[in-house]
Amino acid sequence: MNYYIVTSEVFESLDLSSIRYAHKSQDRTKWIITTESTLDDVILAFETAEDLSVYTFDNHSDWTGDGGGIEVEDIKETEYLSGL
Amino acid sequence: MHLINPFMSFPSGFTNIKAVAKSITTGTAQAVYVADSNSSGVEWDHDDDFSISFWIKPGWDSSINTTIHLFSSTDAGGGVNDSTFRIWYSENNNRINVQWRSSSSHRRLNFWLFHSTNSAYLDAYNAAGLGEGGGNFWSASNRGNVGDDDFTMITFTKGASNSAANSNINLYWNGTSCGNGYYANGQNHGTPAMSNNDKQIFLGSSSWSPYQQSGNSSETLYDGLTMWNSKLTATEVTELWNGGTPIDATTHSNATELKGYWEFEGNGNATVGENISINGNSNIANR
Repeated sequence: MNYYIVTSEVFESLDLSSIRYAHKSQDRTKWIITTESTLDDVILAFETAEDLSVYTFDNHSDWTGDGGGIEVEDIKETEYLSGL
Repeated sequence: MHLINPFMSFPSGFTNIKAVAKSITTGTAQAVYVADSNSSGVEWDHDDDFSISFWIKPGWDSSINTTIHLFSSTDAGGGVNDSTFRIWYSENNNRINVQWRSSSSHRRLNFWLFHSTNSAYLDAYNAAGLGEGGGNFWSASNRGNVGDDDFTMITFTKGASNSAANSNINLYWNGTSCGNGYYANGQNHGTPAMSNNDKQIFLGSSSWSPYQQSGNSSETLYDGLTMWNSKLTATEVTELWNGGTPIDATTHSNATELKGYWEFEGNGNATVGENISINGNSNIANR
């Protein structure tokens, strides 16, 4: 699995069926995504879900409104549903 | 001299003016929990039938953009994977999720979403009454269908199978079934084998981060937590819902299966089961 942060423009250009998990930023300009596909046009890439989760806790105000980050379980287990 | 009229009806003594508020600040002791259920009858495992019901008045706002654990339980002293059961709401995608697990690779999950009028999700859409589309997720400013004091009753029921399939589990919003979960047969990884050891029980938090804040903006209120040693029927859920006015659960027709009951009328003392500890900035509040 690949763990990325991409711009909204890149996100909207992707084959959404390839996305496993997605979470938009508070300002809706960026998305955290996980995908089996390899992407080049990314803002950040992470090795693991754990690394990504730590990043969101360190930068929580960009991603959540409760002062916390995104838990590893959410990244690994929450399935993105295109259009839902 | 006062004479007592033998035909006079007396009030039942059931009052419902208080609830418990889970803290929106993180601290070292903000949890609302039972440390260890001490064999009081809620040591459920993967192949037990049981039901959990509570009333909730959301305090989070629409900017939270993340998950809020509503209820969780785990082995005493356990972590995320230790015979964990949990119910949580994902504000970022408007889903109520239910999961049980015995390790990271052995788990069952299903969820219901509330903002789509697609026929597959219409029961949940109608039950919740939150409205259609991404701007109508559940929050303090959009509570959907509610009962007294703007509280919603959420009830999860599970049959005796180790399955998150729609044939084995149900979710109710107030007295109304949310219909089928997203996964017809559940999202399945491995075969959960939970213990039936004593359980810690948490309200308004995950079992692994009980001292973390829950939500944002204003405190979320919980009331009338009941835990049942059977899969409540739709009729029994309707009876518990009582048109939106909480009842004394000890008078419910299935009360013999009631293994935990907390009214939060001034403290966390249990009407049935063990007392809940209310710590830190979590507190008793008016409904």
